[in-house]
Amino acid sequence: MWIFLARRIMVLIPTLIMIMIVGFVIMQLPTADFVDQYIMREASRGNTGVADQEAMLRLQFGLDQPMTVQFLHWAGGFLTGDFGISFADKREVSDIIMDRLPATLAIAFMAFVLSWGIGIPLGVYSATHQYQAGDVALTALAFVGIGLPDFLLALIFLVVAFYATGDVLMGLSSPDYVGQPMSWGKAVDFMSYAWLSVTAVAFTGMAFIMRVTRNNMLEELGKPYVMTLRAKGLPERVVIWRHVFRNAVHPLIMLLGQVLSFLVNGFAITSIVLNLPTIQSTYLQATLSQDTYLAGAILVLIALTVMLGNLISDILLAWIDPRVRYD
Amino acid sequence: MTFNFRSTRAAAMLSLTASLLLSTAAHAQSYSQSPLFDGMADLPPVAERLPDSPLVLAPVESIGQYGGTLRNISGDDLGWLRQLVMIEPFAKWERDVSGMRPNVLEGWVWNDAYTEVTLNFRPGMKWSDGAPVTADDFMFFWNDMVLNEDVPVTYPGGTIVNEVPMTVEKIDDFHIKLTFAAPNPLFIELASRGHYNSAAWLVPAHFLRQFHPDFSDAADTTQLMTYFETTSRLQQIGMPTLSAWMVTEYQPGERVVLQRNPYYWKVDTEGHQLPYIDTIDTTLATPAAVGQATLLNSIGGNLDFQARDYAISDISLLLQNQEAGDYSVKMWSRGDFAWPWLMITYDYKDAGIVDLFYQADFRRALSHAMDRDKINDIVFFGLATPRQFALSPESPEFGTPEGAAFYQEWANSYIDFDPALAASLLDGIGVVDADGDGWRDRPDGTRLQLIVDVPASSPESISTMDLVKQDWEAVGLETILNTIDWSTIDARAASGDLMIRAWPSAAGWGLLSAATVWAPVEAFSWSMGGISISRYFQSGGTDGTPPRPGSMLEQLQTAYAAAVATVDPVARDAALLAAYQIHLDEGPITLGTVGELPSPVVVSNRLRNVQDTGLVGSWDLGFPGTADPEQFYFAE
Repeated sequence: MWIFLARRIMVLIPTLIMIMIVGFVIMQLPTADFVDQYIMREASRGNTGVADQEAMLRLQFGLDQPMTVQFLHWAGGFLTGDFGISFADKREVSDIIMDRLPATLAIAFMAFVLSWGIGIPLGVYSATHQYQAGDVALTALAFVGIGLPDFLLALIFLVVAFYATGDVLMGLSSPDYVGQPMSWGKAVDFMSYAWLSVTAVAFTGMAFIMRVTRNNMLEELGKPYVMTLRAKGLPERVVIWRHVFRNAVHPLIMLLGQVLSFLVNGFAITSIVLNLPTIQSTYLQATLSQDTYLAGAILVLIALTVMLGNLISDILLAWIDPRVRYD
Repeated sequence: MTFNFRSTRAAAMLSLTASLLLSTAAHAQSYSQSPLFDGMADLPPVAERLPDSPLVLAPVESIGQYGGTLRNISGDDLGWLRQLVMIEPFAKWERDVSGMRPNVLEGWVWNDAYTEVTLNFRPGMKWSDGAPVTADDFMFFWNDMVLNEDVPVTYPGGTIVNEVPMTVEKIDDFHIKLTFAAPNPLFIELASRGHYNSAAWLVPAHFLRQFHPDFSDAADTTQLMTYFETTSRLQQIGMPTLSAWMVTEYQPGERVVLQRNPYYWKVDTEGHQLPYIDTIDTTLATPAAVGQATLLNSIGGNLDFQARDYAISDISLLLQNQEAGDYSVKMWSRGDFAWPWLMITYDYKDAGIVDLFYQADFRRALSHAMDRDKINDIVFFGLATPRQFALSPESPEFGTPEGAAFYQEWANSYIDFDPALAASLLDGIGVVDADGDGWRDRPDGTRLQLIVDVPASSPESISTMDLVKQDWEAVGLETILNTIDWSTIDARAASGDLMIRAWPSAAGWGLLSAATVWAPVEAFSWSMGGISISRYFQSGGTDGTPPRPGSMLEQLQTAYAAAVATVDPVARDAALLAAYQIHLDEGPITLGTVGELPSPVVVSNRLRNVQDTGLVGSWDLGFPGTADPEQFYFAE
């Protein structure tokens, strides 16, 4: 087990370096760079004089250097904890990420708890009441949830809430609370905005978890040991939760590995359409405008969460299921 | 005090006289301030905070009252907030764009040859921290930012004439003389464009020195540039400013709050220190969300003044909800000459295509084949004006009766929808279907395909081009729309791979704003005719593609050179009209579709002094700042 762990962690480092290289190269592939895009954007609004500053801007951002030099400078900075600055607003990349992380994690965590907390019991119920009215209704609901993308649901909520109350629930707080220290009022205000994105994201997530749980449960329920347990006269509650569910939980544990990356990289489109101050909307914009250091740092963060998430789910599986062993 | 304006029009002179009179009148009386400042012990009295002769601003409707918070929305790069609060150039456009009025400068004096201009700053004017504004602030910008090779700032537009940078000489604390290598009569106008020319040049030297490596122990220029660059200036709290409001809170991507500047240097006609409004509260949204946020918040009555980020399709919804949202919609104009503008490139790599482009009948066929009314009705809800490429109607050289008449003729040239005429023009130059496949071929019988690059980011351009493709194909011209990313189009334009480009909403004013849209004279992606043809002109013939001898492109380059060298304003306008005549005689040289679109402005019913007209298609004219937001006020 310990050797397995050490080996996995050793593999993480070269993988991360590969991701950094590939990510950096891909961002440099378009013919235009950040400066070109900036000039195009300003010029299209009338500021044509900015084109004269082209060479100076490249110099300022180090974009006049060859790609390898730029990469080494960027990657070298990681070792000292210097992630560079964002070209767009000249702030430290680490500041931007730390600024965006709390809201991202808050929404993601609430959506995660809701979707798993509701999805699993409903999935178990659905499986144990297969083809009964409750199961049919839940299945229909799950198909709607899987079929409708969360951002569309969010937009529908947004418009319905607007017509019902006149409030525009974009962003995550009313203007008065932006930048204020945490308080009871601010928390209430936050929830009055957050419910919209959380519900939308949790609904799709719940539908998926419900279907996965139902399928696994059904598979297990058909196995002979279940009949044996029932024949022994064990209470149904014990049969379902202590035995069947425990055997059906594998795929969920595998999914759990993805939750870590979901926390920082889930619900990207919902973030964007609702103008949520999350990492996802920053990531998209940084990528589109080729704000290399910012986009690169977020890419590394996402890669890290994916790799760590997989590692954690492997460990959890081994711990939960004595049959799983790694050499 | 002497003023010397480029425009000799009576209106400009009248307003000038008026402001001089008012300035004297205001001087005699005492000044008053916002009650917010009453009893602030550490603040000097208002008369000491104002310059010796403050700028007197006549309100649009009425003298206002102090107070209130103006709520609006801006994209998260703060672009429209910059246009709202940072428009404090040397001289400002008149509210109706008919000329210039003094702003930061009390006045300026040209020599007769227009090679020297003396700038008069306002004695006693102060930065928002109370430090005096003097000639040294401009000298710092010029000597320690522009001329200093370690600071990444280059010569700003309009300061280089005949490839020689201007020289800057400090006469005394409030006078600076600029000397150019050749006549530069448009310098003040060019310097007044947007928030990014002279509005950005005057910087608080006493503040920026703290971050300049030559004056401090700063290791590099990163911090200095963060404060200096217009795109990041509003994100910094504590940088002294000349604006009516200064930033006091900034939460990236969420909100910016600005509070009144206690040292603002303008007063109304009764001596009240401006601005009237205490606070600007701006909610920020990403480019993807800003349209949605603006529309919903507007009709929900959550905004007090919003001039941008509406789609044309929002107009009906905005009008419907005026009563419920307690606001009114004022229809300003985009002042655009085309949306989209079809740029024919004469440096395309295929000589056979270029041969056709150089033939006026081919271009006229393309123009007559387009049903512009259909485009207007389907894509723009009938709100646009079908028209030829002909610059923006507000361009100053169209201000005279003959200019206006010429403009009408130009804008309406070759725009009748007449497929039969288009077909006969094509037949006449041998562009016929030679191989019987249903498409017209080139005169030599080889295949003819028109390829139009359309930016994927402009839905209006895409919809318009779908209709144009139908129209062109109806007269037998095979058309391919290449809808791709903007930067890829730029790359194709630079390499000669671009045949026709659909450029979204485009605005242009004679010599003031991007002259290269009407003559191929500057090697930018927005140059008509082709980048390399412009480069040929710019390089004096050493680089790039020459226009064909005697062709309309060569004539345009010659005519442009003549117009910019003309010092006398009246003669220059005449030279411009003579240059445009080439477009009329040989035209169209670059194709217009529809233009002059309205731009809705949402104004709270409590907000006063917002004028009825404005031009927001290009930042150059400084709107909404040109409408003087410092004199907006909230009625009870």
